[in-house]
Amino acid sequence: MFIEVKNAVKQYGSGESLIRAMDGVDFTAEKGEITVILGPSGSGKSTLLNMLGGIDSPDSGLIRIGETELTSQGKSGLSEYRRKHVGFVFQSYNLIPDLTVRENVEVVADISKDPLSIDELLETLNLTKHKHKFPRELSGGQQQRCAIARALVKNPQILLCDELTGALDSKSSRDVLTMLEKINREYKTTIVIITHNEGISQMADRIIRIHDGKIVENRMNSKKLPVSELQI
Amino acid sequence: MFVEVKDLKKDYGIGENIVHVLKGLNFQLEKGEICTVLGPSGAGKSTLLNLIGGIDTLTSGEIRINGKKIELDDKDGLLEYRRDHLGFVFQFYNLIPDLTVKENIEVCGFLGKKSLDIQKLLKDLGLKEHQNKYPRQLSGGQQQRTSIGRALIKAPTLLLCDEPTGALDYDTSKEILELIENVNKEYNTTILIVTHNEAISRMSDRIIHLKDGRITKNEMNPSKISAKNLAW
Amino acid sequence: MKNVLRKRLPRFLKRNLGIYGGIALFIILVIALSAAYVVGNQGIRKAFHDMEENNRLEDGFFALSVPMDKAEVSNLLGDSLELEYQPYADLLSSDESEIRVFKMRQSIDIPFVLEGNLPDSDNEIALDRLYCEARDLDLGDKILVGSEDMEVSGIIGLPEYIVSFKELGDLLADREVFGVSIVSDGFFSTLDEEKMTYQYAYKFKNELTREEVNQENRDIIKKLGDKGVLSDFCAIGDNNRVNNMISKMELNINMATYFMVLAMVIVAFLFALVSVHTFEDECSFVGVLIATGYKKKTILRHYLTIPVLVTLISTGIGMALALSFVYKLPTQSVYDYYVCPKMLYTIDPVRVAFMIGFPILAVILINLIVFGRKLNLTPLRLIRRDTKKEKRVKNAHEMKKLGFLNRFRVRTVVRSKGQYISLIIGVFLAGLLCMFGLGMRSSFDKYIDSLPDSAVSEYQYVLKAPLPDPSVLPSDVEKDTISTYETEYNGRMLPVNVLGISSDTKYLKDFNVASLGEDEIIISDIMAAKLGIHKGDTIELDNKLTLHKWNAKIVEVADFELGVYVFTSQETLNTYLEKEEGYYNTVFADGEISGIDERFVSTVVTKEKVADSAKQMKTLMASLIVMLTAVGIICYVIVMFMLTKMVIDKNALNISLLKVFGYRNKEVNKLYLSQTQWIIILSVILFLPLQYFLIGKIWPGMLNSMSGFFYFRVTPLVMAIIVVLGTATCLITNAIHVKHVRKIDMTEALKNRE
Repeated sequence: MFIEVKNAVKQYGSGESLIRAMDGVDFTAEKGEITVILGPSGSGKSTLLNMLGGIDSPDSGLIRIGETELTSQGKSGLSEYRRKHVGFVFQSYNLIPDLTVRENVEVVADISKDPLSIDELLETLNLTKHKHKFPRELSGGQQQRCAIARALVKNPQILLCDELTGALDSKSSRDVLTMLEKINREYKTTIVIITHNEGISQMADRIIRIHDGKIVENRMNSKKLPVSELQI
Repeated sequence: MFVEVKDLKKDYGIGENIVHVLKGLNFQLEKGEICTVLGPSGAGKSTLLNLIGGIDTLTSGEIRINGKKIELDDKDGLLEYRRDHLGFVFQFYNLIPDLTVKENIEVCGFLGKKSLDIQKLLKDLGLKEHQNKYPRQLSGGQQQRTSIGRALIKAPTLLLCDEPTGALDYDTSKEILELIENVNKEYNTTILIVTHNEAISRMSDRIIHLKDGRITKNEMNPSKISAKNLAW
Repeated sequence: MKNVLRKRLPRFLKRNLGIYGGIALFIILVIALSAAYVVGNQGIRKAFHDMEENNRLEDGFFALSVPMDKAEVSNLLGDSLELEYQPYADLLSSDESEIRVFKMRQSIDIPFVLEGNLPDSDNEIALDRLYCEARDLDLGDKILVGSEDMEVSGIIGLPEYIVSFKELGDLLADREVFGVSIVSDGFFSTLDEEKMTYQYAYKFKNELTREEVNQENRDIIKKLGDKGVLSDFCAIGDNNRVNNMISKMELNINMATYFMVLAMVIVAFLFALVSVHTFEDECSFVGVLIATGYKKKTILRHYLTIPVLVTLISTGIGMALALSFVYKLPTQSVYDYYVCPKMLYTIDPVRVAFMIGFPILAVILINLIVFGRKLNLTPLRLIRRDTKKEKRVKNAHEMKKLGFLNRFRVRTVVRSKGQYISLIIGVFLAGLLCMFGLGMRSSFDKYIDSLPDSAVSEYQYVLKAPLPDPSVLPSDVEKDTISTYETEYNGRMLPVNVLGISSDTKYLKDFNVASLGEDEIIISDIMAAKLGIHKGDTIELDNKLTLHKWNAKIVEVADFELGVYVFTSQETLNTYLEKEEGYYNTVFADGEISGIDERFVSTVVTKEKVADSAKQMKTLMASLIVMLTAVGIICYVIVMFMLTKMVIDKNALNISLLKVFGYRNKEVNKLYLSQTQWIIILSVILFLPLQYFLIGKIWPGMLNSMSGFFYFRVTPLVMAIIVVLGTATCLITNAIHVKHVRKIDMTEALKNRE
């Protein structure tokens, strides 16, 4: 198993306002799989994603990704783990406003041992024309593509995406997902996508549904479709 | 004609770096129409909205609202125009974090020549019990509803919505769209929605397709359905 | 590595030019000023100390009532002293000015030549520089000396006449009417010996402790006194002609240093504000960087770069300015009043290191604290901008009674109370600096104004001994006894005037000395303020001459602004001074007393002279006062500008939003800025008493090196300036910035919003 999560629990607040974001989550995934996590807002999917990425830790339980047992790492261990292995795409792009598109991607390339070619990546994401523009000059969709390039440039072992196509139109969404498909095929990057878009889940190897902090469905997708055939 | 756009052009930058975002748009809207502007990201949809909303100045061409021309240079005139006629709904809500729900709505109620009854509005929006909460305490849907309330409180003649459901999940999105539909029915507000989500366009009277700064299609919607019945 | 992040720096700087430019300007001004004063004054001090050694400044002088030859004097006083006979005569020149004429010195008090040379021939004279300047004399000019026409061969200074007071007790040196000079031995021998003062300068052959010096001096006085030939005596430590300058140097250095420290506190505070401000703007993508594996160290370094660079460059520029030419300002004012050797440009590495190092360390420390703590948050919280400590957001108070406008205003203030607290602190500190600068001038002015009134009488004669023919004195004068004691003060001995008031006093009736016991004293309020002592305290007063150690209890603190004074009855003082009953050595009178034998008069003090001496001090300090005032005001304006701007920047997005909704500028002002303006204006006004109190507390420390003291006084005009200036800056900044916010592309503002 590449991803192993056992009985992960995460709570916020106390007393009356206690929220169980993760209420004993168990799941596993193999290397190179595309996993889609579905669920309504507030169900805990973002929390789970953050755990997988090592930017948050559960209160109890075990999380292991590849060789690294995240739950036994301290801060610097998690930092190392993220640096080497994880690419993130967040819902709100969080680009650095005073760096150009290319520079925003370079920022991450700088700390990766073996980064992909920045210019090729930008080309694939249709950003070549906008390479030297600043985020404020781009549309929302273009900014998201830049954020994706930034996440991908380090060719991470695991790519975590939180509603990455939320702000994109269907064509752009398709382009991005195709790219993910390609990366997954060529580099065997394990991908976890959070979305509420059921159509996207058809491209997954594994579909997980989460509700109220618990996993209510966890199945392999027998009808896996290539991105070109998705109904999005 | 309520909204008339004639040969609208908008450029950014100068000299070598000039970008022609809108390349001469022509269309009209009748009073009380719901119009959706569709297009991929970067097509210029937000730009169009900003121009109609008077928060950006056009390069050439004309925009008339209710017969009155929006003057290019007249900053004060634009301000008055927005003040009296417009309501805005943004994709990322843009609520004022220091103010409660009620106060966020009141901020705009202050301005209009007429103002709706705030308690009724809160009730219609389903926000009555949240009126003294801060935006941080609300879910995305609740925040967007607040934002709509803010746009509506002065009973604007024109409601401009930039990806109103972009940051929301499916169920909440539908709720918001139903709300918008009700507004249109009750107040006969002309509504312009900009989105990349084609499904939404089915609830509108008119559908305009924007691509690369040009209108590629402008048609009345032959099969208008109610927001409740939208699916994607 | 990490090259890319570096590309942000120039762009960041450009965007925040107003704020960093303001800080840079502030630092440059403060450092240029303080460093200049320190370097300038230290340079003079060094030149002085070198001259003390190289030109063999005396350890004291005495004058004899009859001429004695050197061998005889030497025998009398013993081996431990090196002596040189330095007689002088005061000759009249044109326009009633007097020139004190000395012949060339061989081994003690050797003159320093500033231009030209010492006289070769008998018709040449070398004069002190300031006398020459006052009378417009150049090398080669002719001047009437006595009855001779002499040529100015050199422009010089005498080591023991740094300030050429004609009499030691004088308060003012008027160079137009008095100067000192060196003439050839030939010329000197033509002068009438009877008209000369038979003065000897002496130096101790060995190194002595202070106690030993005092003992030796007492010995000299005793030996000469016993022989009946002592006519005048002054140890160099008590010699105003020399002391005067050094204590003023110290005063300048002190003031400049205090100012700098206060200003640096403000700089540190401003940097803290800017850092917090920056962090809040950037925390979400900082979170992303950390999420993607950037080390906290790297990010810290990134955020430290600009503050450190800005500080380094500004301190560098300030220091360069100070060391290249600004230092000339303070030295010029010294040269205007003192004849001293030219300053030796010395750079005190410790002080320079302090002036450069302190701001930089402060900046690094502050940023480490602000960013270091915040970066400890999980990347998630950073991305979500969940940086405040409160975990629970409480429901808002409905505040039904206030109208919408007021509710909005209260809300914005309460929600961003951190911002407003910073603003208030900033206003306080900036006002403190401004009051410091402006207050210096008003304190001097008030001192000068009140001084004449504080003089006991129109005329005061200080005598060397009671007059042999008392009939010369009109019947309505007051004859008191005055003496100088010393008391310990901050590690040195401070001279204290002790006035024994006669029982039939007419000018000092308010001083209840009759009821005082032997060991009870009344002190002046000035003395109390300077030493920080109160009624009921006991202090030790020492008389160097009589060795009397007087442990006296303070029974009353009386208003007496003239200086550091102790009052007792004349009887008591006479007893302690071991003088006969009826001894007096100072006479207070309503007018000039004609017929007093000049040889018995040590000094004559008039109300006018008192005022003039204060004016002199102010002139001396003038450039410092002007600089402090100017810099104080400029810095005040800069800080107020920056604070107001920061508040607006923080709210820029909200202001944009309101404009999108159709709010007019005036309305935006009402909603957002009016509370800022009110808070600033109220703070400016309400802080005045606190600022006044604080500066008053550190003021005695600043005046440490002075032997006297005057109060820190702030006039209503000063307060008005502070209020008006602060308010005006704030209002103007607001007006400019609301307009500026108009220019922010609203679409850009909205797009960047999460």
